[in-house]
Amino acid sequence: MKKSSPPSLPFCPDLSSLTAIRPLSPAQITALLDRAENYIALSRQKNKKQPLFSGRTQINLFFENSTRTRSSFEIAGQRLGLDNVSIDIDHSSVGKGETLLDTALTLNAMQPDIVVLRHNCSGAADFLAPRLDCALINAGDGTHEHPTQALLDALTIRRAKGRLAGLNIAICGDILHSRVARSNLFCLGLLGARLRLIAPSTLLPAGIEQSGAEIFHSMAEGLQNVDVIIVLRLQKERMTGAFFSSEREYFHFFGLDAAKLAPAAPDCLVLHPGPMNRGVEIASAIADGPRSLIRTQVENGVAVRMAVIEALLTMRDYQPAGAKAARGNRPAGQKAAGGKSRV
Amino acid sequence: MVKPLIFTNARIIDPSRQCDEYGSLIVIEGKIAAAGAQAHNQGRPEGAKHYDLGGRVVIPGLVDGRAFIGTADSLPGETVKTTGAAAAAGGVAALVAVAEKGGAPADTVTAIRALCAAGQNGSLVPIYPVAALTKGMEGCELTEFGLLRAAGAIALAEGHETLRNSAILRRAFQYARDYDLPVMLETQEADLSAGAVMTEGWQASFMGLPAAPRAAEAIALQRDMELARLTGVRYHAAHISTAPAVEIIRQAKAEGLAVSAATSINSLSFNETAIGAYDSAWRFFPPLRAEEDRQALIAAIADGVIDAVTSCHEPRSADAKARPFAAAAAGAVGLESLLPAALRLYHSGHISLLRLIEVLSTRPAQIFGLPGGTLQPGAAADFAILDLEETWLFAKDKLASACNNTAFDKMPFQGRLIAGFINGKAVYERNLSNLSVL
Repeated sequence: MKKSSPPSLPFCPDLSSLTAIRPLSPAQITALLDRAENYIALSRQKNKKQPLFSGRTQINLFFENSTRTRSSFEIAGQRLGLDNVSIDIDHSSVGKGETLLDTALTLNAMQPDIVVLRHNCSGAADFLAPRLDCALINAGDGTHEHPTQALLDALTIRRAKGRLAGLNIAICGDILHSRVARSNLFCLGLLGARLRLIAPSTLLPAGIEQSGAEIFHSMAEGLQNVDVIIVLRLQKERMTGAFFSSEREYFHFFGLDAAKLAPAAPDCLVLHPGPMNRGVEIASAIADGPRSLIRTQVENGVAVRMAVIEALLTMRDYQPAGAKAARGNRPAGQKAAGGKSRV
Repeated sequence: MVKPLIFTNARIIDPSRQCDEYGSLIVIEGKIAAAGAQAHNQGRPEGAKHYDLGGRVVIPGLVDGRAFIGTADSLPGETVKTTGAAAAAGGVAALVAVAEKGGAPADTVTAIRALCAAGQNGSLVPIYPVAALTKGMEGCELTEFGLLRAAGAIALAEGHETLRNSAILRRAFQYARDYDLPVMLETQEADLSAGAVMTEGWQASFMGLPAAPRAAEAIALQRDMELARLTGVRYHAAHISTAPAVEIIRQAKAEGLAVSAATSINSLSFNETAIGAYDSAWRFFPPLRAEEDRQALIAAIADGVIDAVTSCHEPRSADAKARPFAAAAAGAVGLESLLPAALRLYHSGHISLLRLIEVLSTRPAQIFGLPGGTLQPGAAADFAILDLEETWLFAKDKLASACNNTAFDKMPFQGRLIAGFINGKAVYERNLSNLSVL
């Protein structure tokens, strides 16, 4: 196991914030995944703490409900020694967006080192990142991206299969409204997997054929010989927008059960970002069955988030002083002296 | 008595006479006395103030066919006065002002009278109000078209909306025809474009932004064409932005319908990739389109299908823009960037200078029946002088508007206004005295 010394420079995948997977390079993603492997081992020890960043402050700012993602970020930060504050804001009770900036700048004035943001507007993370003095991690913004989910999915698959390149991976379900699908599309694609998207036409985003993935509207065809299936959550409120007609019909054609799994490769694995709608997009027998990696995903989530937090804080620590001053980021070690009030 | 003015060594661009020639411009008593090569031979009026333009260009003052004033998200400091100052600084000599839902009203005689009074007396540049088509822009009850026209309304519009109800729209068209008022509508089908901030496609999809298909514009426009045929209304498509819409207008014109069309300088200057990392400066409605749409719009200006290019001036406060993309207010101020941004199409060789000034001035003046748009002898001396070659950087902190939500900040332009005159009086000048001949 690694000692609690500052990480060597090679692990510094040049990230000042993580708002999306799309702009990353395969090398950056691989570096994060490699680093996360260490933290899986650490998290299985009795003493799970490696306080590389003790005394730093992490704020988890959640404008949407979340249990697993928020607690995963909290635990990841705590294991690295950060002090953690979580703030849940019911977005229905505040004005649109404007409050996002005000809230964020108020928190920014409390000198956090990292902010984890979940928000219902696409682009909220890219909107805030240049306005904060600290690092920012996107924990899901609207229907844009959820980068750490894609990283943990990639890590889970890589650990189970030993590789990602050349695997046939199918993403099934409500791709239109899924930030997980978008992040996975880029992440797994960049790492060399062959992607298939399976959904009714109403739940596929426009222009998706330009993504490079193969598109299917039938599970029987789309799941032929796939090595991995990622099942997406179906949000029931979509029925009102005429995206599909009933849960019954949806499960009949797109819900993953033993029969639909039959054409897949014999060692095919099943992932789901959670929370699941059992009997809608996935049958319980599959979710709890031997091919399911759903619990492993949750475990790996903590490790991946530790790696991301480490990467961002390391990047800021090693930045030459003043290099990012133009963007409003303060050089490491000048927190108090900077005196840059932005509120 | 005001001194007569003479501008020699000028390149005179007058689309109303298809005139692009070197010559002089003579202004007497606030009217054009002569403009063009023949003005050269008319001698100098006695006591005239003389400017040697050294080959610089004289154009009729711009007639901006669509600017929003009194918008809901504007700053309190944005008044008719600041709007007029911004128009003057942009070489605009007449401004067609449209109200938007939630902003200052334009659906009563009192409101239109007040706008007219403010637009004539409180502004450097005359502002001509467009009245709302329905009360409160609710799409149900018609406003008093005849009385509104008598009060000074020059056209009818429904802000950024169109009418969902085709039966009401049909009657509105019939009624407007009786009072000879043009109807200018935005053409985005309401249900398909509900909540949309982007054009449907891969760009919007990977950014996760709500988007409308381009067909939303064609559907609304095609319906309006059918109703225009049915009623004979003078119809002006206020802002077309897609290639299919261009073809619909082309057909309607070929058929002889009383139809005209405009697009905005924003739709001509940017495509959907401009928004980069969710920069709300480029959040517009209708949203930015694909590059092929932008190219189709430029071609349609050159070949005469599109009649007018507007600033689509939409002042918004910085607060209304400092939000995540989809929650930010749409629109940008445009009065001061209209002319230099349009000149890019001339410098790129896509559109002749004569045609460009025609769509910025002459045609919109004809569509709305406004004075100006011409340098004919006898016309009001509304003109602008520009240096076609001067290069400069547009800067949001130097705008005359109170709101500075421009989409052109820090962008380089070639071609810059030197002076703007209305009724022979300078409403804007920048180093004009350097050209004065003693």
